[in-house]
Amino acid sequence: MASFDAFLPQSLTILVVTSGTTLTPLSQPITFPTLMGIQIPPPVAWVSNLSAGVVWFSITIGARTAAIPAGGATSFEVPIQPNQTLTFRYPWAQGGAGSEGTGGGPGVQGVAALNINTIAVGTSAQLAVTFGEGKF
Amino acid sequence: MAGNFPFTPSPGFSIGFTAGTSSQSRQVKQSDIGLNYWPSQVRLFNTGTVLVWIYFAAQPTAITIPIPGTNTVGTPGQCVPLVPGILEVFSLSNFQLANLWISDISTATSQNYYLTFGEGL
Repeated sequence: MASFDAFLPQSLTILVVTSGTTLTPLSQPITFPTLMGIQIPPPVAWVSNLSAGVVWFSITIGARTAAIPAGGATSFEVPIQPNQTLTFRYPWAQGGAGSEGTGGGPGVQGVAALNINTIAVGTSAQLAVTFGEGKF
Repeated sequence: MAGNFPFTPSPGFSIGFTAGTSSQSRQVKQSDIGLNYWPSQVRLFNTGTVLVWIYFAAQPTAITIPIPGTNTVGTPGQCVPLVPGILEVFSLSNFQLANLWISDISTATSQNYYLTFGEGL
């Protein structure tokens, strides 16, 4: 299927919860074959923010501590508004400490496990993540 | 057929369903929507007040809402969420269209959602 088609879900959907009002970051590792009902990771992730507040997240190979890039700081994470759904190619980066700018970006083949790194201001913010092909 | 162009409804009918707190599966046939072929995409609109979770398959399937974990992925589910008031367009595979069943579940009763088949994004 061409990438210009509308999104075709191909995996189970996971709910990623970001807990607490203290901006506690969570990394949510996904192992594809065992958890997602598929053998080969599809090329894009369909992400839906089901919560009432903005959630910042990244999809990386290695676990990283999610951060909100406030006050001139930098971060891998991108914001997604409440009730918004977006599709992303992944992973965005290696994601491990000190890996910035070292590659591992979208289209990396053979990735069997990923981390979804999240942070939110609100309590129990939820992202739904489904892997598949196509775009929004 | 599909492509990088705006969603265009097929010259058939939209169809509406009502989701509740129990999983339901419904078969949709071409004759139900007034077509003699299957478009490649479907546009969904949840006009309810809470999330509706749906799943397209080639057979009736009991679905459950995913359960989030605290520091894990929790229990994934075989469905995708429809946020109230938001339009979503999904592609359908030939496997699904050979014998299309739509399963739904929600966290509240009487949640209406509508499907319009067509082509595009």
